[in-house]
Amino acid sequence: MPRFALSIRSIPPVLLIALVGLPVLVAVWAGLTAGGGATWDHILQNRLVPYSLTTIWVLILAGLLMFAIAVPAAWVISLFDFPGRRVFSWALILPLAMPGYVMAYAWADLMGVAGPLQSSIRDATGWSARDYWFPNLFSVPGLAFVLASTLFPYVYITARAAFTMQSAATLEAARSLGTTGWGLFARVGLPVAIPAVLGGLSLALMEAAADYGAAEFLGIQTLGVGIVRSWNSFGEPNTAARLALALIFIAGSFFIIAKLFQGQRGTQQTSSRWLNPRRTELPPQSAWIATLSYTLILLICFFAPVARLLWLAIESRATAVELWPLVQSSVILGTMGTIGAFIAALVFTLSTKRNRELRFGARLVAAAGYAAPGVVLGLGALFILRETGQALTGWVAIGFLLWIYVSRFTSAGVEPLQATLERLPKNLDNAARSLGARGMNQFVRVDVPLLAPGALAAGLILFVEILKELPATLMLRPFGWDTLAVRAHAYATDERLAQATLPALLIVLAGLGPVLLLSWRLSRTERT
Amino acid sequence: MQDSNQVPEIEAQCPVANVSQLCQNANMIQRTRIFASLSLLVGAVAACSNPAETADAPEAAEATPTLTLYSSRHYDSDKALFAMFEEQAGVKINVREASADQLIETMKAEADMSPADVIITADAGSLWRFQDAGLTQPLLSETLTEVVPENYREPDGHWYGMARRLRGIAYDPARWNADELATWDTLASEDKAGEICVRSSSNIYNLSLMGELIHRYGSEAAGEWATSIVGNMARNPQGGDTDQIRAIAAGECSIAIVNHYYWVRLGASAAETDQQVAASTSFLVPEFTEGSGSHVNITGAAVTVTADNPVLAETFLAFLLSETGQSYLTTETKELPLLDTTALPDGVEAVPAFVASDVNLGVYGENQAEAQRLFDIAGWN
Amino acid sequence: MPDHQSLMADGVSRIFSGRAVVDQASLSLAPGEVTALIGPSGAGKSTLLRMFAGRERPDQGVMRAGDVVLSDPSRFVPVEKRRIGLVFQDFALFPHLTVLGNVMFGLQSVAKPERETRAQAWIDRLGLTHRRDAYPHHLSGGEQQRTAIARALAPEPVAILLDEPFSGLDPTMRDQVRQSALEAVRSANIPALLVTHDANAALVHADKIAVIGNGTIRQTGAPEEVYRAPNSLSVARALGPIHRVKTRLLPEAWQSALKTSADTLWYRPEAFQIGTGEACTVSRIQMAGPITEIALDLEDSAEILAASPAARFTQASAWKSL
Repeated sequence: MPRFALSIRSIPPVLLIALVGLPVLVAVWAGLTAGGGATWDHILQNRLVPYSLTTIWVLILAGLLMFAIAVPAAWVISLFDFPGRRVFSWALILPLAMPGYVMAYAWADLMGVAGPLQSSIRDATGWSARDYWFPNLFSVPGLAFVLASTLFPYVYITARAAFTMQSAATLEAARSLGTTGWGLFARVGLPVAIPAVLGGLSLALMEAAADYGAAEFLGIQTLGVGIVRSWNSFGEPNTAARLALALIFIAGSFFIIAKLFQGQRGTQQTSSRWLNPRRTELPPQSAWIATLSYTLILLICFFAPVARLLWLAIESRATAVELWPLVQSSVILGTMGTIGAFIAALVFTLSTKRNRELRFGARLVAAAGYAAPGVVLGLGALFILRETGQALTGWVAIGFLLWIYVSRFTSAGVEPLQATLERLPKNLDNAARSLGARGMNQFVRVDVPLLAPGALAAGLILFVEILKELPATLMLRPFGWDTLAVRAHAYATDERLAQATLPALLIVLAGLGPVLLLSWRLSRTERT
Repeated sequence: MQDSNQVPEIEAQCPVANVSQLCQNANMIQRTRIFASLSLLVGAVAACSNPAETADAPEAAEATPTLTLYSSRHYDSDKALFAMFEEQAGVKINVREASADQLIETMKAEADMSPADVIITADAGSLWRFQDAGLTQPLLSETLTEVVPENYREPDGHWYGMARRLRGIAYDPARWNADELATWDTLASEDKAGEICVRSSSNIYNLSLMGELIHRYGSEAAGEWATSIVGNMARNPQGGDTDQIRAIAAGECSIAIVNHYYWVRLGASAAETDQQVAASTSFLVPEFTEGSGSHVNITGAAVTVTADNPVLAETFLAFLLSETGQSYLTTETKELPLLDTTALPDGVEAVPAFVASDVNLGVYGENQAEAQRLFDIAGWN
Repeated sequence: MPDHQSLMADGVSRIFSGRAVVDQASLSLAPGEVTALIGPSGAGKSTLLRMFAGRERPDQGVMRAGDVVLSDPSRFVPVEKRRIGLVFQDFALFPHLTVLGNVMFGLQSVAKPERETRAQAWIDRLGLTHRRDAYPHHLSGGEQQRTAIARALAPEPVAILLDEPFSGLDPTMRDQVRQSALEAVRSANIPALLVTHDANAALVHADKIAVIGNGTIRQTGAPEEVYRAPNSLSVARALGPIHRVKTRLLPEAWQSALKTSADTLWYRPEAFQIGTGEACTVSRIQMAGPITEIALDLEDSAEILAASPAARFTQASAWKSL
C-alpha cells in the first residue's frame, strides 16, 4: 500500500475534509482560546461532572434500549414469517420521521400529571396526584426512552441490512452443526452483524448526545443543555464551545469503541452463493408474540404520540398561519443540503478507499461534525462569518447554512455507503481496472452503480435528518426562510403546543415519504 | 507470522447478480442524475424567486424602503402587526426571528454589514445585553419619552418598553389565601414544603426575577432564597409555565411561579380542559416587601447601531406605542399594554391590580450571569 | 460414537411446480466410502444433497441413516438434529471466528476441556496446525477448504456431504488438497457424498460413482465399471468426452472388426491409439498437457477426434490405428 502521497486524486478529498471540519475546528478553537473565565470556572467546578455523568448515563440507557428494540426485531423480521411481517418490515422505520423534541412534547403531554393517562387514573380511583406512583417521564430513563424511540430505526436499518445480506450457507452450516433458534442468533447472526450494528448504534448515540430540545424540555441536565445554557444564561458563546469539547469527546469515544470492536474479525463472508436465507414460518404462539410486540413498539414509538398531537390540535381548534411557505423552505433546504452532504459522503467513501490516512482523517472529521451539536456548529459558522465581512442574508446565509448541514450530516451519509462498499467482493475493483476503467471512468461506471443501494439509503436518511434539524437552521437561515422545524419550535417555546402540532406533524409527514421509500428499497434489496 | 496482505487463493468470483444489478443501477444513476439536477434547478429557481431575495438588492432602498427587524418574539400576531405597518408606512419589513443570544451573536458576526435596524425582545435583560454589546444606539425622541414611563426605558434612549409582562404566582385558592403569598419570601418558608412548581432556572423570566432579587438583597440572600425554593419544590423543574399551572389543577402542587399571560391564555383557550384548569386556580402578583412594588418585565425595542434609517426606525417604535400597535402587540399574547389608556386584552382584567417596582429594568441584564450561577449552586435545575 | 452405518435414500422425489426435480431416486452410501454424485446442471444433484442434509423435505420416499429414519411421509428430522456434516462450495466459514473457533463450533455438547483437544486433533489431521488462530479471510482457498472439512468432521457426524468442494480451488493445488482432504474424510469411517460436475475428479478420488440425470439415478458402481460400461449414453456423457461417428465412414478394416449393425457409433477419444494398423490422415494436432488431441479425417468430411499420450510428431506421417 502506497504511503500517503499527495497526488492530484487526493486533492478533492483533502479539500473536502478541510471544508467539513472547519466549522467544528473554528468553534473548538474559539472555545479553547477564549472560553475561559469566571463562568468556565463555575461550570468546571460545579457543573461539568454532573453534566457529563448525566449525559453518559442517558446514552448508556438509550443505547441499551435501542439495541433491545431494534436488533431482535431485525433478526426475526429478516429470517422468519409471521402475520404482519411485511408491514412491520417497513413500519418500524417510521419513528425516524419524528424529531426528538416533538416526541418529548407528545409523551410529556401523555404521561404528565395533567395528561390523559394520569387523569384517568385519578378519575377512576379518586386518588390525588400525590397519592400514587406513576412512571416519571421527566427523568433520565424518561429522556433515554424518548431518544431511543426516535433513534432506534438507525440500528434497525443497519441490523436489517446485515441480517438479510448474510449468507444462508453460513446459517445452514451452523444448523448442520446442531445450532438452533437463539443459538443461530447469538453465535452466528449477531456476532457477524455486530460491526454493522455498532455503526448504526454509534450514529444514533451521537444524535442522542447532541440533543438539546428533548433534554431541556424534560428538565434533564445533559451536556447539550449545559452548552446552550452557558450561552443563553451566561452570555458566553466561547464557553459554550469549550463545553462542547466534552460532548464531542464522549460521543466520539462511542464511535471509536465501535470501530475498535471490529478489530481483527472479518465481516466479509466467504460465501456469495445463496445470499438471502429463506424465511421460515414461526409456530403460532411465537408468531403472535412477535406480531404483538412489534405492534406495541409502533404504538408507543409512533402512533400514540402522533395521535395525541392530532387530538390536541383538534381539541384546541388550532390554526397555524401560512404553513405552505414553511413546507417549501423545508423541502428546498432539505434537498439542497442532502445533495451537498451526499456528495461529500460519496467523495469521502470512494476516494479514500486505498489511502488509509485519508480515510481516517475523513471519518474523524465527519464524526466530529456529527457529534457536535447544531448550536456549536452554528457558532462556528458565525465566527467564520465575522471574518468574511458579510451580512447573514440571501446567498451568504444559504451558503453558510448548507455548509453547516454538510459539516453536521456527512457522517450519516458515509455510514450506509461504507457498509455497502464493504459488502462488495474485494476483487471487483481490480477487475474493473484491468478492463481499463480508471479514475473518473471507474467512478461512474463501476463505483456509483455498485453503491446505488447504499446511496439511496444515505440520501433518504440525510433528507429526513436535515428536515428535522433545528438549531443551525434557526441561527443561519435567511429572511423568509423559516422551516417547519423552526415554526414548531417557536410555537412550542411559546407554550402553544396545540399549534406546534401542525408543523410538527407536517415534518413527520414530509419525512414519511423518504422513510417509506427507504424501507421499500431495503425490502427490494433482499429479494435480489 | 502470516502477512495479513496475502491474497487468498480463491479466484475472483463476481456475484451472480452483478450483471442484472448493473443494468438496474444504470437506470438508477440516470434517475438520480435527473433528480439531482432537477433539485439543484428547483433550488436555484426557488431561491431566486423567493421574495426575501428582492429585499437584499441595494437598489430596493429607492423602490421601497426596507425595515429589518431582529426579534426574539415569534408570535403570529406580530406578523399582522408588521403587515399593518408595512401598509401604513409603505415599507417592506424583513424579520429575523431567533433567540436574543443568537441575534446578538449574529449581529456581532455581521459587524458593520448587519442589515438590522430595530431589535425587539420579550425581556428586559436581553435588551440590556444588546446594549452592553454595543449593538444599540441612543434614540432621544420626545414622543417616545413622553409616552414611556421612566423605569421602562433606558435613560439615554438605548431601548424602550412596549408592553408589560408580570411574573407572579398561580395558586390553589382552596389551599392558600392571597395574603399568605403577598411577598416573594413567603414562598421560602417551611409551610410551603412540597407545594411549589416552577420551570427551569435557565428560563429568562426566572433569571430576570432573580436579577431583581439580587439587586435588592444581594447575592447571598438571593442565593438563600433560591435554595429554600428548591427545598420547597414538589417536583424537579420541568416543562413550561403552563405545565406548572396544570400541575396545580391536577393536584401535584398548590403554588406555581408563572407569567401572567399563560394563566390568562388558559382561561381564554378553546379547549375545555384548559378553561377548567384556569377556573380552578387564582393568580396574584407578589411584592418584594410590603410596599416595594412588583417585578415587571417588558417587551421592548431598540434601534441598532447599524440602522440605515434611524428616522424610519423611530417611526416604527412610535407605531408600536400607538393604539393600533399596542392592540396588535398584546391582544393575542395577553400581555399588558404599556399605555394605561389602551384597553386591556380580554381576560387580562382578571389579573389583580399591582404597583410596579421602581427598579430600573437594566438591572435584570446586569445580574443575569450571577443569577444563573446562584441557581446552579442552589440546585435549581 | 457414530453408527458407522449407511446413509440411504429410497425412492425419493421432489416436485416443483408439477415437475419432478428428483424422481424416485434411490442411493445407498456405505461408511468409509466416498461416493461422487455426478450429473449435468439441472439434473437434481443439489436438490438431492439438500434433501440428505435436511434442508428440503422429499415429497415421496424415505431417507435413513442406518436404522434412524431421517424423513418419510410422516416424519421429517430438521437439519440441526440430523448430525450430518455439510461442506459448501464456498466453505461458509464463520468470519468472526478463527480456524479453531470454527472447528470448535459444533462441539457444544462436548465437555469443555475436551472441546479444544478434539478440535485440535482435527486441525492437525488436516494440516492446519500453523493456521489455528487465523481468521478465514486470511486463509488461502485450500486452507479454507480444509477448515470447512475439519469443522464438519469434528462433531463426529453420522455422514458428511460435500457440495462442489473443489471447484473454487487453484488447479495446481487441487490434487494435493483433494487427496489429503478425502483421506481425512475416509478416516472418519462415515458415508461421504460428494456432489460435483467435475467427472475427472470424481473418477480419480471417489470410491463409488452415482450418475444422476433428469432426477433419477442412472447408474452406480465403481469408477472403472461406470466409465467403461455405462448403461446409457447420458451416463457415458456425464463421465467424459464422447463423440459420434457413422459406422459406414470408418475404414473397412475397422467396420469388419467391430461387427456391429448399428449405423452410428459412439467412442471415447482414447479408444484410438497410435500404433500399427490403419493409415489415417491427421488434419489437426493440439497439445493438451499429458495428452495430444488428434483429428483424423474420414470420408464425407467427417472426422474422428482422438486423444493419445503425448509424443513428438512430425507433419504428414502416416499413422496406424487399431
